[in-house]
Amino acid sequence: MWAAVALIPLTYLTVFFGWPVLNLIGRGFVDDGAFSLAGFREVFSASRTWRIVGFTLGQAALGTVLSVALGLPGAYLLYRCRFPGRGLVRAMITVPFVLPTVVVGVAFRALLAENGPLGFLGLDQSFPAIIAALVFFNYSVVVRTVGGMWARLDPRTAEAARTLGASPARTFLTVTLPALGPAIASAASVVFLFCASAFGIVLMLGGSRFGTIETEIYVQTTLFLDLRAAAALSIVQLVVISGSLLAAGQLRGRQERALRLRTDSASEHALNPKADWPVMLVTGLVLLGLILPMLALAGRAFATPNGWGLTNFANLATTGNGALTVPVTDAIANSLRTAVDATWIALTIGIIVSLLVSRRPRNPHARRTVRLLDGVFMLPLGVSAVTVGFGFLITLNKPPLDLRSSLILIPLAQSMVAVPLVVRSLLPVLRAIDPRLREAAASLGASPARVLATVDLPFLLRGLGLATGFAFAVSLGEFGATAFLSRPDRPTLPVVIYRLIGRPGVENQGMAMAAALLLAVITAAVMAIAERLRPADGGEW
Amino acid sequence: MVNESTNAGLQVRDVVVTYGKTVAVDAASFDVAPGEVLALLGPSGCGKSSLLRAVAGLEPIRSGAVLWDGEDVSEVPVHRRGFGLVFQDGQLFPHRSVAGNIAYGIVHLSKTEQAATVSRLLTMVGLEGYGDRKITELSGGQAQRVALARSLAPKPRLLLLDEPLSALDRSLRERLADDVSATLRAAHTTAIFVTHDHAEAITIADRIAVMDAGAILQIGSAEELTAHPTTARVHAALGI
Repeated sequence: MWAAVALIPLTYLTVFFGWPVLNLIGRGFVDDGAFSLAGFREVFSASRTWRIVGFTLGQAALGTVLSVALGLPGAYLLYRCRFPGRGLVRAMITVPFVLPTVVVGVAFRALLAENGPLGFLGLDQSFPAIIAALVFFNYSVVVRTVGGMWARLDPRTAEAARTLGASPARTFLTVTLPALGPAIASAASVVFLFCASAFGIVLMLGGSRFGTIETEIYVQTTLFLDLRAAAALSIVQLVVISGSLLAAGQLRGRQERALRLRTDSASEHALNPKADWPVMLVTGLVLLGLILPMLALAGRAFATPNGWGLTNFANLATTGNGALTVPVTDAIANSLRTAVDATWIALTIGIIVSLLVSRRPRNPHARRTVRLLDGVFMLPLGVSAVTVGFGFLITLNKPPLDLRSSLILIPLAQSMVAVPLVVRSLLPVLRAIDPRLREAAASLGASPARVLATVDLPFLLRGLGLATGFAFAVSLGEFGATAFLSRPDRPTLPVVIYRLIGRPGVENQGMAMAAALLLAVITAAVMAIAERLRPADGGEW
Repeated sequence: MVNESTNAGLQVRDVVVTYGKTVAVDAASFDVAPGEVLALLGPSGCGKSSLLRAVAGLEPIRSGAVLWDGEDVSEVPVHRRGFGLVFQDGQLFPHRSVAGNIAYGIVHLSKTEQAATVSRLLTMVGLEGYGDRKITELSGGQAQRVALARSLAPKPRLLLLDEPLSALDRSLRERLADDVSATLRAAHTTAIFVTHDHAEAITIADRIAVMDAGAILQIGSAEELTAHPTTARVHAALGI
């Protein structure tokens, strides 16, 4: 029975993921119908390529190091110290992570542009701007991952070190830091992954001077129309991403082993300004850095030539100053419709996959199959959105499957990006079901179908709110894949924002700000609702 | 009761349970007559829970057979076997009320019959009027009483109890052991009671099967075992 059900997600994955990616790899290696490395030779003999690969790895490394360096004090402050307003601060630092990349890009442009609040720094479209935006985006990943671990560390180990005569610094270096090691490494590899596949941020803040492999794939495709070079670059990106994903998986495995050693003893202490002031100072500055771009964005959205007003928002009903073919309001409607479609596709596939993967069959073959499925459906996570978009572009535009003019093409691409997130939010609640609960139901005479309906389903429903919110928010802000597939007469909101910010004219810039603020508010609202529906950790009801 | 007297009850024949290369249960054989309560007594890790799970159909058996009234049920899936199981920690459904839990196995009855059964069983386990309570509002002892009532509701041909009292504290355990014993007799239940506590085994069971390292060492009434233990280990298991 389960084998038959597995066919649905497997078919989806094969047609909309495996085929485009294989086709893309084929493009890179085939020339005039014969195997050839000409594409690679051409791409790799260009100094531009090496500069871009170097930049991709360099900006990812720097973004990761800074995120970790700033995130550690944040993790300590927000997960080991008790102070009024902590919940609010924790929520605040999470907001940037869920913001669409185009919003972050526009917000940093608003902050750093010549006429922006920090315009005097002259950092608009510079390397520091890109790095700052990457840290803005990934700070909370480090704080939450490391903080979560830190909160559960048994404080008695450190206390033992202190009674043996170790100073606080030595205790931190010899006891606490090694214990946090796996969490830090795991967070760092995830951040590196996000930075290495940064697309929207680099595209908007890098101008023509800076580019990552991702933006280069886009430039080669849309500007130079060199699909073979884009394919070769996509393969390079596949290698980079799967490499860091592999490292992340290994490190996560180690963290899970380490976590089993935890005790549940409380480990918080009240904030002590006398001892904790350096941590408070650093985190305070980071908070300022998180708030400023958003304030700048809001300010610019409401700015008009004659003071504050709603002109920019009113202009959203227009096509701007020669920038667009449809009004922004149409793009908003398109985005919402697309997100609804992407969400139901991602939920359908994600629910089936989660149910399958949460089974614990006794048969070793079946168990191996389950593990394989689990890994296979995380693959899209390892392939950047840009690669998905590019793969769709060169694969699903001709028979046997011509979806070029189909309204379902973009939702399909976006659902591919959302499925891993849906699975990751549903699996923990399903795996939290004690298998003996299902056995208890069976011993009371419940058939496998009734066990599914009466034991698995109530748990699944708890995770569904979060999964739906994730899928919807991701789809709403999705830019990487959509940028390749969006048609001029039917753009989504992020695509329109990107187009507006790239056009000269006060009116277009103002509209970009207003549209970005709108997208930020919608996304944040969706995520806030989803977070409220997040199941409490553990089995408490 | 006519049915019971002609019924052969449970027969376990040379059952072997393995996990990979580890042999958890090594050719165990025993019978349980209708209406009889058998205790499986042994230290933790001796394979008694694996044997119980094999009887329930939750653990596949490598070889041997489980028969009910002469019929081989080894291949019958858990939910069709008609054997109830009470877990060590209850495993009550957290999203259902006390009554919802007890009625889980009797959905084929009418609503009125269900309500009557629930209220009868709640009275039997000493929790009259607890039907609308949430599971989270129950103490450990109350939860185990509800778990017992839930397993008895579908009138299982055989009730399996996997250390149902071991998660409770000592004084409560002794009190509850008497209650369980009374409840099983009142319902004329055929049962296997797994425990590592010899006092509990003596209180609850008609006969005791002493188990160690995957094998059943000796079966008999408490008096028989204490009078003629076949090995020193049986002697030790009975705590004499």
